[in-house]
Amino acid sequence: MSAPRGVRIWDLPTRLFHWGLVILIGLAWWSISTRQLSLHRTVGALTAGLVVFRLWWGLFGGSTARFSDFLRGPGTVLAYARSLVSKAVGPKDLSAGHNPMGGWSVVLLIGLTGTIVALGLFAVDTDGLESGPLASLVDYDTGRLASHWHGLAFDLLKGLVGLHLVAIAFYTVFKRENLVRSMIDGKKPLDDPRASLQPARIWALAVGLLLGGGVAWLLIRMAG
Amino acid sequence: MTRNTTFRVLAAVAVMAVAGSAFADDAASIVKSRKDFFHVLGKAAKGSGEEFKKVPPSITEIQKFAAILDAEAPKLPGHFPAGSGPESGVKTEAKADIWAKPDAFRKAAADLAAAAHTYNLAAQKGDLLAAGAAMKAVGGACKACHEEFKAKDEH
Repeated sequence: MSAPRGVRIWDLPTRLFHWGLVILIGLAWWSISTRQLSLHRTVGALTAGLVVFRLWWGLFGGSTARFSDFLRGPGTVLAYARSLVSKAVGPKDLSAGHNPMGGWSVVLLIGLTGTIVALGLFAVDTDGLESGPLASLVDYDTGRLASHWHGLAFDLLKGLVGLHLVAIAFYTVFKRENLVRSMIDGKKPLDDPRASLQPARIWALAVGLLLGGGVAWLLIRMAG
Repeated sequence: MTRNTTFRVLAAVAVMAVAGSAFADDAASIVKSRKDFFHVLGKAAKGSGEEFKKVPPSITEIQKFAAILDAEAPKLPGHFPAGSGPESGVKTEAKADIWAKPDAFRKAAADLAAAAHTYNLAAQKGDLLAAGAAMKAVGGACKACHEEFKAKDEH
């Protein structure tokens, strides 16, 4: 690990999840704006699979992908925030992956995406004709309400994604950290190789792919 | 004389205020019953669509939904009296174009009524295949009219 770019911090599944989600959120937005409901449902099913995979990966994935690695208490989060805007010394023993603020934003982004997908399963359009794969379980009014919240939650997600981009710009300009490049090649310029990623077991990847793929496949079949 | 004028002005203002609020109440209740009306159509459309996806679909269920659509669709234009648009101040997704282009709107409503009637005839005959095709036309009529005359849901 003496590459000039430093140590590995993101495993391949985490990076693929990230960029996959970027593509799917874009596709979801585009397909609904152009009223391509079939495509929109397929995109939703794939997103559901991706979220399920990520939840699994948050428990059994590579060390930096695990929730236990980056979810910190409010004291740590505050201390870290203070160290960003002042000369105060930040908290010790931080992960080389997500920082204490970024960790919570990851959970919010994944949680909100999961909520949007879940609402979409029950959503019914105004004509009562286009609907999510589980909409037959609810009546028209409930389905309309789900659709309404589905849209509201997506507005919220757009705001969060905006904040995410602002944060990345902040690190680029003020901290000279290229987070985008790290999310592409998985590496970070760090001297301490002990901070590097502990990869996951291969069985954990296999189970995660099976779970995520299974959910996506099931939902695509139900929507068909 | 002055008192008399004052009284008349006050009386006129009072009458206008009552009339104005009555008018707004009226628009609100029209919009409310319009929404209820479209809920009936939406429910019947949702029920139809789901029934056709079942294997096999139940013709009696489809007949029920088709009869509702056929009976209700012709009432659609009656739910859009003048003064019940966005200018009334009541929150509505009805676009002003409904009243600005009355012929186009009437045509769009007539298309729906015709499609719903075709659907019902096929359903009552027990012709699932024809009913399915006709239901698609009903959905097309919903969509076409919404495209032009219904404001997009701003959720």
